[in-house]
Amino acid sequence: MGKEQKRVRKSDQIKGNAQKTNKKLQNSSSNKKNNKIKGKKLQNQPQTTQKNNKIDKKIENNQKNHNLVEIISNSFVDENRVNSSNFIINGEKISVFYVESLIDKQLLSSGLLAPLEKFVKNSIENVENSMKPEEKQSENVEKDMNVNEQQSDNEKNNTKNDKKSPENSENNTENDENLAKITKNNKINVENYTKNAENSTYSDENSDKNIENGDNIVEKTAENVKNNDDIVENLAEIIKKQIVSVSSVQEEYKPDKIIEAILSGSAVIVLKTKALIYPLYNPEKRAIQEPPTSRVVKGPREGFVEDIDINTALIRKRLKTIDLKIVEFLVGRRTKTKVSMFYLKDIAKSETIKKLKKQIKEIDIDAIIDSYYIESFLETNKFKFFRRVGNTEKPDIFCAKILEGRVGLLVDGSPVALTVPFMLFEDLQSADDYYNIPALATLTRMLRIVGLIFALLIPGIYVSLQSYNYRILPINFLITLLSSIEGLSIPPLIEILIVLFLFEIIMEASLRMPNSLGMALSIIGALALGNTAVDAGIISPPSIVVVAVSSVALYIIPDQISQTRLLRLLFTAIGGIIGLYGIVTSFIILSTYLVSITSYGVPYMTPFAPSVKSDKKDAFIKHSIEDMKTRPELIADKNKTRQGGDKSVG
Amino acid sequence: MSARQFYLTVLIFSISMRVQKMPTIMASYLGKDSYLLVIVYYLVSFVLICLAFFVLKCMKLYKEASKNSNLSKFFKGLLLFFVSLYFIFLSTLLYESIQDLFAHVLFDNISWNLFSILLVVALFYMGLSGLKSIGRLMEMYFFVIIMSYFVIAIFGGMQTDFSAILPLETINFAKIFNEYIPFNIWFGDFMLILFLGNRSEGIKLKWTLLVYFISMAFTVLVTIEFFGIYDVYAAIQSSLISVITEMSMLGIDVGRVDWFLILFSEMGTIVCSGLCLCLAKECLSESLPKIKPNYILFVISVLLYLIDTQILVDTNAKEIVFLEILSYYAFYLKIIIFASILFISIVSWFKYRKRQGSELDLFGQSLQEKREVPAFSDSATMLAGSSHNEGSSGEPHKTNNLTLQKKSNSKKKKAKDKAVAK
Repeated sequence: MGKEQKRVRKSDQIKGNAQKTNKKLQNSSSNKKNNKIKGKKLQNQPQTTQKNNKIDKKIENNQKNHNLVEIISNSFVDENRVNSSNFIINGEKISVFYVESLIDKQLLSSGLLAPLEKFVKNSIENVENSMKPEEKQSENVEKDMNVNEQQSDNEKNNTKNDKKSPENSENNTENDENLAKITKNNKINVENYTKNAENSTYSDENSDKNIENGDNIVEKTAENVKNNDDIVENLAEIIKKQIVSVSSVQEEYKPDKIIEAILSGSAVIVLKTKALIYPLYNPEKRAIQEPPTSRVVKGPREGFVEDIDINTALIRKRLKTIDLKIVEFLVGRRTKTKVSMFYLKDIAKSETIKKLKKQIKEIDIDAIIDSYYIESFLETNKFKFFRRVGNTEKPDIFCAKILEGRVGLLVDGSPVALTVPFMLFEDLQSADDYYNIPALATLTRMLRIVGLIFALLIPGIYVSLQSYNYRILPINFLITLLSSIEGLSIPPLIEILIVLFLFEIIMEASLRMPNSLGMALSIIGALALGNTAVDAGIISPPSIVVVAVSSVALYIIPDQISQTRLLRLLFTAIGGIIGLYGIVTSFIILSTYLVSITSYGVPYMTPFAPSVKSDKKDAFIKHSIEDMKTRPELIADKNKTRQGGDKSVG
Repeated sequence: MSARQFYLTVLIFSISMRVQKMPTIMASYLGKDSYLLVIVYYLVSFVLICLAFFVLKCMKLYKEASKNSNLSKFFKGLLLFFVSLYFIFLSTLLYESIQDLFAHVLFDNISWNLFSILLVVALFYMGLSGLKSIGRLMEMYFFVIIMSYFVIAIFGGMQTDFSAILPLETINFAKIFNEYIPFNIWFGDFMLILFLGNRSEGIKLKWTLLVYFISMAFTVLVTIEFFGIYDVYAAIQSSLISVITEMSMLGIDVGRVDWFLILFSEMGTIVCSGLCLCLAKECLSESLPKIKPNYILFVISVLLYLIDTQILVDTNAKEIVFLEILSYYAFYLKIIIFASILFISIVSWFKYRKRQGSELDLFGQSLQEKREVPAFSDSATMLAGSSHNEGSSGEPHKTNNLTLQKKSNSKKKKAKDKAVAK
């Protein structure tokens, strides 16, 4: 380690050569001359120097974190959540860090901790058994010492070379040669260790052989081990390859990355200079249930959960194609939330993919708690009234949208998946539409449209008719209305606004109130509104009916509820002030806005404005799945055929 | 704007323009024969539409040729300025009919000066969104608007006494033709097709004529219904659309559920007014390229508001004078514009042909050189080149290498043929 620290201080020129060579030697037994030449070449190539810098950093970190075990242990001094187990192998302390609540405990104990304990136990026994051939050991140790001396000499040479000048390329070559020797020795150590470890981890049946091999272990260890770094290097290899039975492992040198991995639910074996990260993340999870916001009578009832891996599996289960691409991002400076982007590479628009990737990469926030956080970053327009990102909690809907050419996003910790591009009409579609006969789906879609108009305009029209345009009403109805509002002291606009606000208050309270109080609240609300207010002459019965109809209709499209509630208030106010003329004019302004906006290049009101004939098969009048032979025209730009066509392209 | 949006826009525009105040004003001049003038206008418009398509073709084909001429640029700017005025006036007419409907018929007593601001805002926003958005709006509202017009026509037809437009022998044709000019402002479809068609893709004459025929059939039908219902009283009605269904609703002013239909149809009128404003903005921004289009739109909107609130307040002398000025302006402007555009198109066409001819020669030569250089020896290339140069004046040079010359000649011929074909 000390040698390497010194090497860091070398001039850039020498460092380039040495590090390049070092790297080369670590990876394979490459030719010295080649290294030298390549090292020289690298000086002239700015592109490759970037690579070198990366290696520099890695080595720097390796060197700076002199004892990673200490650093990591100190980092978690006040942290009760983090558990650790310590082992001493060949005099080296290694620690296993993990957060118990996040980790797969079974896998941790059987795949990681138990094998490590066993290895330690075996190593001790082997050492005890091999105490007899002390002479051989001492000889080997002496040899090792000699080699160590050689190394230190080499190091000295290196230091001298540093001091002299970067022009001493010959010395550099010597250094490289020395390094090559060291690394070669290291390699031998690793190989021997591996062989020995293989023997040492055998079961009791092979105990005799183990004893024999145990001799070899110590013998060869003593023969080959050169310094502590080598031991760590060898240990890491042994742990990775022979001891721990968890296959997925990642090496890390930087303490901050190691800490991050521990806190995100990985088990980390920390050695002196490096750490082995085992992703054993398995926290307590919610079971897969039907999402409360999109229940279906027919069709799959699976819903996304908060765990992104389960959600990914749910998608993978449905889309068993190699064309499904998953791109992962870590978003949030503190939360490091995993965000996965899903798309079918042979269908989705490349512009949409590029834009989305760019937007996610540009997100700079400390925390991503839910997918809504991401959603607000994806909507690039300043006036974010209508959402331009679709969301769903059902994997079947998500997959259907991906198959249409959309790009989907899953956020770890959120059961709500996002899809882009999004059109307004998607909110009028339901999962049930696709699992029922088309005629019924058509009827329900018509009902949703009527419901939306009712929710949006009914209070406004009522107020305007009462205030200005009462002549429009049929005479009989007008007489009934007039009799019911007789004696009312407040203007129609104020009256309806009072009812609307009362309704909003009751709704808000009922959402947050404990269930046990819900009934009481309903009674109070109904009595206060239905009887007392009417009897007191504050409000009229027709206004309650109008607001009730409008409020019930709000929930026919739950995804647009926030927008509809706000617009309802606006239209009511305009209807009360300017009458039907105001409603018509403001509705035109709203429509103009809706037709002028786009979501990722797709007009928001597609397939109606602009009219797309093929896409209308899944609009008001729902056609059967058999008739929908093509994907939405404006969403996918490749492979538009769903049925027939080239079967090789899905 | 797509072709579909273009057709729908033309249909709604041509109906919306003619079912508002025009029949009532016509009635005061021509009485029950007004529908004949409508037919005459439509027939003339059919011819003008065909010409508009010819001009459009010229404009699109020879756009390149007219680009470089400074004179044509200046002339184009001037012309577009006057055209924008025409569209502002059209927008004003539609605006006025909206005002009439809401401020005088539907509402009893409102402050239009205040209420009008919302309409100006709506028109301004439509103009700001551009033709694409207006085209989409037309697509979105089309079904509702057309259905409401259709139901209105049915309601009107239920109460119509078709014998009121008879006898035909009393028709005064001379009077009809004399009154041609004052009403030409209401028939601005030729201009709309010309300027909207220039901004649309894939439009076809036959579909446009079909759309126009539907519009004619509907307009003539409701005009006949209007005169059939109100006969001599037609002239004192405020607008056709507001009263045509009144009789079918017991003839009283209460319980007018048909107002909802009128409101839906009026949405088309508002969008058409926005369309005219947008076209005016586009023409003016081309004419005055240094000024930002949004500023121009703002100024036009304010102008529209002022005209509506200061001049077209109610039916008085100011309004009549204004409408007469408008009619004559529109008539002469249309003639001038049509003649100018036709002239520009023909000149451009000639220019284009001329330039295409010169490009053809050059292209032919360069193509030939390109092909011959790698294929033949230097001497052969030189010969071929000289033979080409000489070719225009007379015989080609003779060469010892006859096969090469033959080859080069055949290649030249092919290249020339290709260029001609292009």
